[in-house]
Amino acid sequence: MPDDILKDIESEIIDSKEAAEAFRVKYLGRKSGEITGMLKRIPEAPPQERRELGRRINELKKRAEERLASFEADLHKPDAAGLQTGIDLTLPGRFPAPPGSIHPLTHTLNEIARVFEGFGFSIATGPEIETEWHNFTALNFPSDHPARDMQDTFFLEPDRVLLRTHTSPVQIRTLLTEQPPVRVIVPGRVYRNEAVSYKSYCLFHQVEGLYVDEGVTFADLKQVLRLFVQALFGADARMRFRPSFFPFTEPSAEVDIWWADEASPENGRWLEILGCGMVDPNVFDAVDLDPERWTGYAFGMGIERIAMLRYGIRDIRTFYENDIRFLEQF
Amino acid sequence: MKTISGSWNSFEKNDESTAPRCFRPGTTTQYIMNISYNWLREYAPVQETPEELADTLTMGGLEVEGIDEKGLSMDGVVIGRVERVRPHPNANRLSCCEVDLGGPEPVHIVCGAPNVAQGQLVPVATPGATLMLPDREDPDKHTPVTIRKTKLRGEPSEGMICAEDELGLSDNHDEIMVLTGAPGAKPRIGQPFLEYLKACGIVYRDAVLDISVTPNRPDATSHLGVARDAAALTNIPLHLPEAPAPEPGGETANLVAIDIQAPKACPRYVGMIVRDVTVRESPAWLQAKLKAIGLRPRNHIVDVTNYLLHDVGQPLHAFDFDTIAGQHIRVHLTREATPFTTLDDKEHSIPPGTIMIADAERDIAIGGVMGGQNSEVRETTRNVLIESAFFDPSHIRRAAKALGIQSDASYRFERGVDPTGQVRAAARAAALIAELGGGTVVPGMVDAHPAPSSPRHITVRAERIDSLLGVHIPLATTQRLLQGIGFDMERQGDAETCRLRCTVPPFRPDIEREVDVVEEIVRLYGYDNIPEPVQAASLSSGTLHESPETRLRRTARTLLACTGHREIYTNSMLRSETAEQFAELAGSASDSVVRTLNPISSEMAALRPSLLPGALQVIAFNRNHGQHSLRFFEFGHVFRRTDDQDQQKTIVKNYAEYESFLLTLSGQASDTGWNTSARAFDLFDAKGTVEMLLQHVRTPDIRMAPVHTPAPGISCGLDIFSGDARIGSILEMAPDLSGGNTPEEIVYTAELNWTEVVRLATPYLDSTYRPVARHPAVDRDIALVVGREEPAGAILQTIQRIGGRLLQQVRLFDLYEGEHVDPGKKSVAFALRFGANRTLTDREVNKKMARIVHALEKEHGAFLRS
Repeated sequence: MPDDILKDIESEIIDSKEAAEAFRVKYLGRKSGEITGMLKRIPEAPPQERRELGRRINELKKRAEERLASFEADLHKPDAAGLQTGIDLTLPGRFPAPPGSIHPLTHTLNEIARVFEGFGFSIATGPEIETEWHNFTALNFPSDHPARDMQDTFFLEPDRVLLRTHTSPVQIRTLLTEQPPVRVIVPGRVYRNEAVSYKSYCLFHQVEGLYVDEGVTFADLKQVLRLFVQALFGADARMRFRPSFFPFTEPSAEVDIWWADEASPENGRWLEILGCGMVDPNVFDAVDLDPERWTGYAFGMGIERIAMLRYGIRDIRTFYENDIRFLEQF
Repeated sequence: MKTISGSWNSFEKNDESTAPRCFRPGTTTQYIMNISYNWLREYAPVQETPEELADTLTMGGLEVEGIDEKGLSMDGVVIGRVERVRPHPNANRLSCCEVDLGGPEPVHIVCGAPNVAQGQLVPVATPGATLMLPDREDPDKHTPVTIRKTKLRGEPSEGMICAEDELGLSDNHDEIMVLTGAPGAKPRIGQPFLEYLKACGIVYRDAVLDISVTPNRPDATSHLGVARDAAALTNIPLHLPEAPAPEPGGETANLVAIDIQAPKACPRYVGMIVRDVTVRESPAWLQAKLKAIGLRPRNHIVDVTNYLLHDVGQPLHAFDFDTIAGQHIRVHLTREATPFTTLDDKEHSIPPGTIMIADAERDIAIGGVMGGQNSEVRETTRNVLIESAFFDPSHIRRAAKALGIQSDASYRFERGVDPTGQVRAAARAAALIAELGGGTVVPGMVDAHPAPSSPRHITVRAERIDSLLGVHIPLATTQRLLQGIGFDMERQGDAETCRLRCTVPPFRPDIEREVDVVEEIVRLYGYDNIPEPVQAASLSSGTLHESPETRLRRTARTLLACTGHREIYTNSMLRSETAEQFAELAGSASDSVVRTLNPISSEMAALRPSLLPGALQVIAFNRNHGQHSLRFFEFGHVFRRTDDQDQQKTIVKNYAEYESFLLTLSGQASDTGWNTSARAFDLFDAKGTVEMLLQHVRTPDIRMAPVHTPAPGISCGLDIFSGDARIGSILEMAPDLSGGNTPEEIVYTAELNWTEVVRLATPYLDSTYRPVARHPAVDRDIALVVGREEPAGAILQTIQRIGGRLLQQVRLFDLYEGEHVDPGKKSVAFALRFGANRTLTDREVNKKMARIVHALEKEHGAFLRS
């Protein structure tokens, strides 16, 4: 009888945990296992055969246990198939190229541009070396406005050529070359003559927006900026329009968003993220468009500021240091 | 005060940090006003808390940047009488006091003030009282401290005798407060201290709002002005301060003559005189008001002028009348630079064209900026001349800028004060100076007013309001809102063409056009009350167009990031010498470097002629931080001066600016892996990457030619052409520019004129599909022996030229020198693939191959390797 059982044991297929358990119960189960039963029945055999019978049954038991152990071992092997072909498939894969990265300011700009492109804005650009007329005069800055001082602005030639202090001169360049309707955003680098610190750098990047058409209203501006804020900061973002002043828009507003901060007494605070307003009639005059026919809105924001908010960056200089350990996170 | 450029973003706000800002004088367009809540409520009795009021003002256009709470709980602070003082047995500077607080027994208190003495009535904080004690290092910082029974150096102390700063009344910590009483307020032992303060007329609790005033709001630079907004925004009446109305002339006109010689610069000058005055310390109420907004009380005359400046926004100046020669005031403009000493004892050279106030003999004040030392009010002053003038904003702006003086007065004159407010302010000041100093106001006044201004009228179309804002605001609402801030108006036209003829109040010189009035309406109406359009935003009526520039830059960025390169952003400004060096390297003259007239430092004096210097810094930085496989790229503008009149190249005359692309490689191209070996970058990595990029963006007809005489700092290099146009170069930097000389330290770089690449590639952006050949291609290999010096590129070009249209591909697959090749020779092998839109015959291909071999023999001295 043990020989028959040995055949059975060898021919059983153990290919799953369930099969292994069934195998264990069938042969080694405490109550009804076949081998267990045979062991229990040893005393029923004639005394002179008991010794030999016991040895053979124990061999069966050992064999059954071996089969279970072998299944368990297979289960924990890394890759059974791999071993068969002699290839260690756990070796690290070969990259086609090492990891690269795109700068966080590009990511942020792309995100902003993506939203406005969805609203039908095209991208316009302009030079960083700009005339005082485009940068200030045409934008309705009075001739003795403090921003025209050397303290705020880098000049290349007195009263004529400077490094643009904002992307707004591209409003002028666009309106001089294109007839309305005009709907553009203007990303670009701008310069300010200010001491470098963790919160200010001698240059930064802006995105300007301009929409000029017949019948454009402040309500339209509110809508497009609300959609933008929700796209960038989430559908439940809280925002407000606060009256403000810019020489080239009238009326003007600043947009604040509510920034949750559990450490603050009110659980958050309003943070200014952009400026906006209706294009000032004097700007239309400068580009020879009739302010009675055309109306428009404009807005502008700092890309660094938005990137700092999005990524939790505290020091603006980090963007220009280009430490690989910083870059590789984006 | 703070700097802001009037653009969308200012650097101060470019950060979410709450770090304190600096509001010192400087170039200013925005101004931080300290407005006392209690003071404001005298004119606009708002019911809102300071926090609510701050929110209301902010949403109405006066941004409140912070609220300072002044004065805190005075619970547990009572008045006590010092009964006994004896020196502390264990401490030199301390005294042990017994203080009667009205209880059965006096209490023991250890006190450190030098002025404590028997019989004084003093404020005492009793155990359990919590005071906000100022930090000794930083008086603006306060920490709550609860008073307990304790022992100080072994002596019991059951309370604290307080100094003014400990009660939040001032910053004075020199001595304890000794209460001497005031009319109607006699301090009593055991009396709650707050009750006593109230009896003295001192309003203890206050909040100071820090308001950031935009340049278009000269009216909001006073308590009355902010109160006007507060009243309008909360829909309550505004109480105007009462002022006496002196008659022009009178005795004053006999005592002083005012002669305006520059009526444009000074359209109005009002003078009043107070005589027989005794210069005193100001009473507590006045001191408290000035202290609340951060001003230091001086004497009652100066304090009254400061008080009125912050109360109604009219700057005043008080002269010691007895110092004025000839009883004569003359307002004139300087013709030449003039020395003058201001009342802060500083000597100035006054530039020509500055408004000066003079007496019969000499200048006595810089008009609207600062008074002179020679005529200032002193303790001995008996008779005071009060100046209340209107000075022209642009004159004051120029003078303040030229002299570097920003005073509270000049700030307000620069913006434009109310041209009708001079008499009211002068009369109130005269009355108050007389009252507080026991003098008398001389009857009458001199009101020199050669060119009175007339009120401005603006017609506002109701339809225009709605069409600009996108909301219908009922005319009655518009009228109510504008009346609240001092506009008078008259309705004109019928319902269709309804207009408001508005009379602009004199304190709003900024309002000149219809759109300015619309802004006033909407800020009071509230942007939040404008509903968004019911319809979703209309579709763009312009063309939706991604420019080739944007499209190709995006493509390139993705390609490079996906092939292991990291994008960087570097500074556009650098040292002049560095700029010159790299300008030459880029093939421009060193005098083409663009410099700024006013650099922050010599480190940032010029604009980059190339992106390379920035990238070299980034390489050095990362190498110093343990990085050894460096692949960077950058897109950015580069600049040079030029005489080229070509409008295409120079947007701003004399300056050429274009977008550049830079690739830099340095260090390990690959690390040792389990079946790869380490390798350092070489020139062919840079060359291959650029070829890949240019092919990817479809730059036509790319050609690269070795540079024959590399510039200093360059080991070797290639010029890159598209057709005949040079579009960039690939360089191996010499060790001194690379920052080291091991193979791992050499820097390889490629810079492209990206603007030009885009221009050349644009026609190929949307190419049409070419059907794929369905006929089998024929492959042939060819192995040649040529002279060692024969460039592979030239051989390739010959093969391509002869191969013509049938030759679809050619690839160099082997390069060998050494055994089995004669010395001075090398073996090169190419794989060629021929194909056409038909099946090629062997004969055809053999014929082509024979012609290629023939040309190679003839032009390159090559022979077939057997």
